[in-house]
Formats: sequence, structure tokens, C-alpha cells
Amino acid sequence: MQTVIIKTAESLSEETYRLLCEGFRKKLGEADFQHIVDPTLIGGFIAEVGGVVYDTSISSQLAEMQKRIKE
Amino acid sequence: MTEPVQEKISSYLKRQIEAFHPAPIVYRRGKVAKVGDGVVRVTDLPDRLYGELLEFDGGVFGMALDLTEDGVGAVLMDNADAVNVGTGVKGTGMVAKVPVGDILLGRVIDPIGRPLDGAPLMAEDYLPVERTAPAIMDRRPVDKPLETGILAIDSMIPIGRGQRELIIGDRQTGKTTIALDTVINQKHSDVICIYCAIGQKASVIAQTMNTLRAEGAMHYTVIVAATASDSPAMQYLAPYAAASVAEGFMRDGKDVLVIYDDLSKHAVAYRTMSLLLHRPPGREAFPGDVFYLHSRLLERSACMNEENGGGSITAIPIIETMGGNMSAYIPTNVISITDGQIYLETDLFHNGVRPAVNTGLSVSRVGRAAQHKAMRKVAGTLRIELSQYREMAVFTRFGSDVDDATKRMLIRGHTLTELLKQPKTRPYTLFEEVALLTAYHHNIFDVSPEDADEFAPLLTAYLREQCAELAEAVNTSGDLSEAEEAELIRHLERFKEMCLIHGEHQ
Repeated sequence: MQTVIIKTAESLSEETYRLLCEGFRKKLGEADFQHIVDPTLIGGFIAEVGGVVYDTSISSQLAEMQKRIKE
Repeated sequence: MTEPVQEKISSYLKRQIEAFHPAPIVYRRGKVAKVGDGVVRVTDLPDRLYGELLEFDGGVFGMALDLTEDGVGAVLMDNADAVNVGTGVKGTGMVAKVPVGDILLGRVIDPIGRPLDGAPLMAEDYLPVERTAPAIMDRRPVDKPLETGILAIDSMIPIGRGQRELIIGDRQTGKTTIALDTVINQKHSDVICIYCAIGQKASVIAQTMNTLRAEGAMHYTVIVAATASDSPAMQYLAPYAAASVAEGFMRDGKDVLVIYDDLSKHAVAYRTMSLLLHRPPGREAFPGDVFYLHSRLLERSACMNEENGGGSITAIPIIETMGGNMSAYIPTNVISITDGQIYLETDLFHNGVRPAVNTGLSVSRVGRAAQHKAMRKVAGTLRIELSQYREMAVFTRFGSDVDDATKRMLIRGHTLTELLKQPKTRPYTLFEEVALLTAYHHNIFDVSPEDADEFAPLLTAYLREQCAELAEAVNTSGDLSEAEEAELIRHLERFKEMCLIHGEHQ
């Protein structure tokens, strides 16, 4: 049983949260879910399971853009 | 006029933002469990690769060199201040890479391609730092000379393109000088040079860069540097990075010269890293694979056949001995790997013989196959004459009476020794070297042998004025025809007369 830690910028509606967990269950099989609200993400989510991180947060995308422009 | 500039900047930013496509970023994450002595223990990182570059929170990089069941041991490549227990670690999924291509010419970089000379580097093409050497069937025998411009080397210990020739000697015997003079001499050829500085002081590397720049050599040279204050991992990677940069040029068919200065410090850095990773120490506390450390590096020097581009990489590794002991562990390892060595002696150096080459113990296993025809004609007997001179030279000390033939040999040996002396950063062209040796064979310097080293620059200056066309012809063809030889001898005789007349007036 793997634990998936999901971080989002604001609290999610029941529907959205259920869809998210379904998506991960399809990929990983049975899983436990934890939800943490972290406003610094601005938007999107970061999901971490078994050492692998799926990052679609806006804060990270902005950081990527900044790095790209600096080059 | 700030307005247009502001517009330019904002439109540039707008274009960059529009060109950006947001996409999910997927990476592997672990955390630091233990930090100490530049080695970090990382746990919870899935799917580890051996030799993978790990990025610690804070931008510090490390290399994963120790994979075990319960974690990864990584060697830090930068300063350890920002890394603590609990710091997050990202797996980059890449092994160490270095940029390659013409943008590197004239630049100074570190082993992972970060520029050290103040200006940004727009790299597009990369090669991994660890690569397998070219296959046996992709190579061809060494057949083109690499001219060092140093008479003692080009005549008796010639280096060919694609060869590995070691420079070995105690400290302060002129090892780096020979290597740098060879680089400076390549401004007359199409050879690209890479100077790899391992564990040197930053001030010395800056000095080297300035010397190369002053001599007009920087525009075809790349410096890959890991200073003495860089981590052992950086010093360990530096020569492999330099080899990858060289391979980037070789695959385009170019001839490359790589200087590894020096591999003794490289072995010490590797020993430091291995001991910190708890690998078992062997002889002199070096790890068991210290031979493989250098053999895989030097095997990457090659002379490629036509189907594979026809390029070449010549390697000049440098090893520092202690007390002239060539039988120590690392020196014997590298001697058995290279295709010959140039042995520099402290005694010769202090007696004014510079370059301090011991011609008896130095050898080039490629030898005459990699010499220009013109040089082969005049340099054939030099080694034997010098070794006979050395045997007999002891008699001069006691002022004993010797027969005429021996006296003759002593004078000629003395002349030759003086002639082989050469100031630094003054490489000779092929024509000048051939001219000096032809002058030797025709006894031009017998006027006063002990001044032969002063006559040499006078002669080369004279020839530069009088025989510019002949010089051009010989330098391009690499050969000295009978007619050309006769013309040269005429000029030499004239020079001798001028010296005699000048000498009488004094």
C-alpha cells in the first residue's frame, strides 16, 4: 500500500479531490491519500509517492520560466 | 535613450514568456541522512543510476558513486555548507556531461562545463564525461608528426598525432614548460589544444592563461580546470571532461592535443574520494582500480581511420616523481600505459641543460614513423652520438690525454649538448630545427663549441632573413631535397665566415 501525498494551493471540492485520487489509483493500484494545503504553490498540485514527485504547480512552472529566461 | 531599450527588453521578455510551454515536471526525490567530509548519504531515492548527478536543495551538485540496498553515497562537487541532514535531493537522471564544440575555444571551464572566465557559455552540444574508447578496428597507426618546436624532442623523441607521450620528472624541472611550449607551437598548425589543470593553484592557472594569451595561443585552446580548492570529485572528473571535449573535436575530423597536468594530483584526488567512500585501500593507500583510472583515460587518445573521420587525439600526461624515483607506484603505472616518456632530470636542469631531457632514459615508442622526412635525415645519429659522448665525458674532468678521435667526439658531443639547449616559449619551426642539425653535421659550430647555444639564435635570425623562401618550402613539404640541402649548406658556410670575421675583429 503506497501513500500519496497531495499538496494543493487551496482546498479542493469533493468532486475534484475524488477525480484526482481516481487518477492515481488507476496508475498505482491501491493507495492511501493525504491532502495538504500549501498556498505557496499558487495553483496546480504536487503529488509525491514512493520517492517520485509529480509537479504541476504554478510556482514551479514560474521558477522554470525564470531559469529559462536567465539563460 | 532608455525608452527604446525598455521596449526591447519588454518585447524580448514577452516573446520568451509566449515561447514557454508549461508541462508537468516529474522527478525523483530523496533526502539526506548523513553528511561528512564531502560525502553525503541519501535515502529514499528510487531508481538510482551509478554516477548520476544529484541536485541538492540549494543548487549544490553531487555524484552518486556508492549504491547500496539502503541508500546512495554521493560525493559533493561543490561546497557543502548548504547541505544538511534532511535536505532534499533531486535525481537528475543524467550522468555528468560537458559541453563540446567550437564555442569552447578560448574559454576556461570546470569539469561540468560551467565557465570560469566570467562570461556566460551558450552550450548546445554535450557529451558524457565517461565514454568508451574508440574500437580497435576504427583506428589507424600513427603516421603524422606533432611538432613540439623543441629541438631535443622533435629530433630524438618525436611525438606523433594520436600518441600518448608522458612527461615525467621531479618538481620544478620544466614539465609544464615543455607542454605549454608545445601548445604555443601549434599556432602554425591546425591542431586544437586542450589544457587540463588538475589540483593546481588558481593563481597558476590564471598565469597559464595569460601566457597562452600573450603568445597568441588562446584562440585554439580550451582550458578545463579543477583547482586545488575544488572538491576531490571535481578533480577526479577534470581529465575525463577534457577527454570528452577532445572527442567532440575529433569526431569532426580534427587533430587535438590534450595535456593532463598532472595525473599525480589526479591519483591523489581519487584516493581521497575512495577512502571517504570506505573503499578498501591498497598499495600506498590507493584503491585497487587506480591503474584502470588512468588506462581508461589514456585509451581515449587515438588516431582514427578515414571511415571514422580521420581525426586524432594526442595525449601528453604529466607525472611528478619524488626524488627521481621512476619506480614508484603511479609513475610505473602510467609509464606502462603510455607510448613513451620524456624524462626530465633535476641535475641537468641545475647544470643549465634546459630542457632538462635525459635522452638516454627518454623514448618514443612511435619514433621515426612520426617524423618529417627532412628531420629523419638529419636526426638519425644523434642519440648514439650523445650516448657515446656521455660515456667519454668523464675523461674531460680529469684532464687526461685522449687520442684525436676521442677528442673529436668530445667536442662534437659538447656542441650538440649546447645546441639542444633552448629558451622557453621560443619554439623552432621545422626548417630551423633541420638547419641547426645540418649545421651541426657540417661542423659550422666548431669555431667555439661552448658558445653553440648562443650561436643558435643568431643563426636562426640570419636564416629568417636570408632564406625565407627555402624555409617556406621545407616547412610545407616536410622534406629537404638535395638541391635544397645544398642551398642551405651554402648559407651556413656564409654564416660561419661571417662569425669568423666578426670574431677576429673582437
